[in-house]
This record gives sequence, C-alpha cells and structure tokens, in this order.
Amino acid sequence: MVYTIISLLIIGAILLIDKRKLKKYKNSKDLWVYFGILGLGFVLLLIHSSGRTLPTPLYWISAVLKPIISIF
Amino acid sequence: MLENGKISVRQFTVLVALYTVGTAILIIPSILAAKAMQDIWIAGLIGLGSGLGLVFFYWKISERFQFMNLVEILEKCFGKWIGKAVAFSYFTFYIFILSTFVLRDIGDFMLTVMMVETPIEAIHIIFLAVVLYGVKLGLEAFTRTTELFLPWIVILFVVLFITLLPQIEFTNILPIMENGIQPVLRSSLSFIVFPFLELVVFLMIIPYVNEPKKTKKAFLLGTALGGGLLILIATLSILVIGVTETARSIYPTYDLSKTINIREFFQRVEAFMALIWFITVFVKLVVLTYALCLGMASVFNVQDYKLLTLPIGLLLYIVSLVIFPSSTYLIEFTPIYDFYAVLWMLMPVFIWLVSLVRGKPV
Repeated sequence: MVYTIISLLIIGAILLIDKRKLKKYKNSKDLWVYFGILGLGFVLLLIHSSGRTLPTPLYWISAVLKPIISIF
Repeated sequence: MLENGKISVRQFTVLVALYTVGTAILIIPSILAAKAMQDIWIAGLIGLGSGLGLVFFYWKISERFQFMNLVEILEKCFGKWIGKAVAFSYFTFYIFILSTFVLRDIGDFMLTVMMVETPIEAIHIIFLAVVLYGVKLGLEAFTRTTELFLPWIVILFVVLFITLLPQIEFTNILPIMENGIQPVLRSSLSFIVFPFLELVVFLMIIPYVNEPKKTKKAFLLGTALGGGLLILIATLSILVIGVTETARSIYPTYDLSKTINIREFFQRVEAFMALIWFITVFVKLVVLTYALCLGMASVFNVQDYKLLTLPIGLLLYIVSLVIFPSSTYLIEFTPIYDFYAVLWMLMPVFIWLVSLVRGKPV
C-alpha cells in the first residue's frame, strides 16, 4: 500500500514538473508518445510496487544468444 | 533541429574522455585480470589500439553522412520506416539496456561498500534525479558541468597515484605472457566491448559540435585519454594488490585506494576513489540518457526531446531495479553481454556497407 502511494506520488510529481510543457504541446501527437511511455512506466511501477517480481529483459537475451554462443 | 545548443571541440574531447572512464574505472581491472592475469597492461594496450580503430570507424560513418545524427543516418540508409524501426530497436535494446546497467552499477556499489542499509530505490531515485535534471537543461549545460569536474578528477587521480607509488611491487607483473597470447586477446575483447564499443552513442552528439569536421582528432584524443587512464588504473591494481586479489574483487580500484596509508596519518581515502567514480558515472549516464531521449524524439518525430526525459527516466528507474536478479546472474551474463554488444556493433558495419553499395549518401 505504501509503495503504491509512493508510485502515485512519483507519477504526480512527473506530471506536475511537465505541466507547462504539456500545455504547450496540447492537441499535438507528441503527447501520445509522452503518455505512451509514461503509461508503460506507470504500469511497470505499479506491478513492481505490488511486490511482484518483474522479469528481467536479460532472460530473453540469454535465451536467444546462449544456443548461438555454445556453437563457438 | 531537435537540439539548439552547440558545444566546442574541446568540450567534446572532455565528454568523450570522461564517458570512456565512466563505470569502467572501478570494475575494469577485475574483468581484465580474470582472463589476462598479470598481462593486463598488454591486453589493455591491444584493446585501446582496437578501440581507437573503432572510434575512427564511427567518425568515418558520421563524416560520410555529413554529420547527421544516428537516427537520420539510419533513415537515409534504409529508408524512412525501416530506418526508424532499426533505430527504435537500437535505442531500446542496446542504449536503454546499457543505461540501466550503468544506473544499477552505482546502486550496487553504494549498497555493497558505502551505504549497506539504504534501499537501492533511494539511491537510484537520487542519482537519476540529478541526471534527468542535467538532460533537461540540455547538452551545453551538462557539457560545461563536465568541464568543471575535469580538474577535480585529475587532482584526485594524481593524489591517488602518488600515494600508491611506495607500495608498487614490479614483480607482480612477471612473468610476461605466462599462459600465451590467447587469454590476453580474449581479455582485450572484453576491453573493446566495454567501454569502446559503447562510444557509438557519440554519433548522436557529433552533429551538435560547432565544428563537426574537427571532431576526428577530439574523438580519438578523448578515447586515448580515457583508455590510457583505465590501463594505468588496471596496471596499478596488479602492481599494488596483485593478480589474485584484483581478479577476485568486485571493485578492485576501490580496494586499491583502501591500501593507502602514509605514516598512519593519511589513510581511509577510498572516498576519493568513490568521488571520481560518481563523477564519471554521472557523465556516462547523462550522455546515455540524453542520446536515448534525443533518439526516441527523432524516431517518433517529437518536437522537443526534453518532453520525453521524465517518462524515459521512469522506465530507466524501474528496469534498473529488475535488470539483475542477483550478482551471480551478472557474472553469468557477462560473456553473453560481450557477444550481444558485438552483435549490435554489426549495425554500423552494415550502415557502412549499405552506404558503399548505394554510392555517395547525401
């Protein structure tokens, strides 16, 4: 619960800092990119704060490259 | 143009030198000593020579494309949509992953040796806040900061070097090439991957130097200075604390500075070493994050890259927390990372080949 509140505070702080820039680019497609990345970050932050372990991208990299490296 | 600021050729040299030193200063001695043993300096010299060749190649690509940034080069080479897709994968799967490694390195270091009871989240947030503020202020601002840091690094390093001189044992680097040339060459490959291969990120910064045509010498000089410092530190580790201790330790340079003791008066100066590292890690992370934001803004045609700084920072923060499940996993992943980074190196080679086939690019 505490971590979730901290996550919400982090997102709130980000939006507050970017408030002026968000107003400047109102109705622009730049905001889609901004909220796309921010949304992804928010979802990951909430999952992490709920105590679930997020998978590291290195697992996928290892899974793909290990068989190739073993050839050499 | 996404970035309005311009930096001078001298500032570019400083940026390259400190970026090269980056995270490597604290961990490169153990990476090199694990394979090359006491021949660390030979592996370092071979690595530096190859690294300079690599940097020259990066510069040639930039020159061939009239000093465009990496995303524009890719679009010019492969067409708009494929170019954007390649650039997106490059920034997501290489530059972003690399940035999370750097951030995690600082968190792990603080947690292991300095602030063992502090949550890693707190360290990451504080460090990232400074970095993101630097990126938001722009290229000119953080490059000037880097210039201010340089004399401090030089002074701290000279103090470190002089105080370690009495403890040097030249027998530690003998016998030379005891196990043949192969371990030395394997070790030098790791030195090329980390940090020289990572200098590709400067293809995003060269366009914003006020005289891009003069950056060749600056790029090579910065790399040589940074690489030379790394070789010196690595050799010093072997000369003072020996091969076994250097290869076994996670942070041999930090252990090296712990040994300084002049007449029981001048001692416990390892914080100096940590200070050098904080500065160089800051420079490396700020350059990587800047390139990442600029690259993503170019890919998605965002007018102002500064708009993406905080959302990308948030992603960096979360992924850096989960990137290494454990420190043993990091050791297991190192040989895979070498191969992974070399694969990404094929992209500039591919760009070069395509530009040769297609003739004069611009």
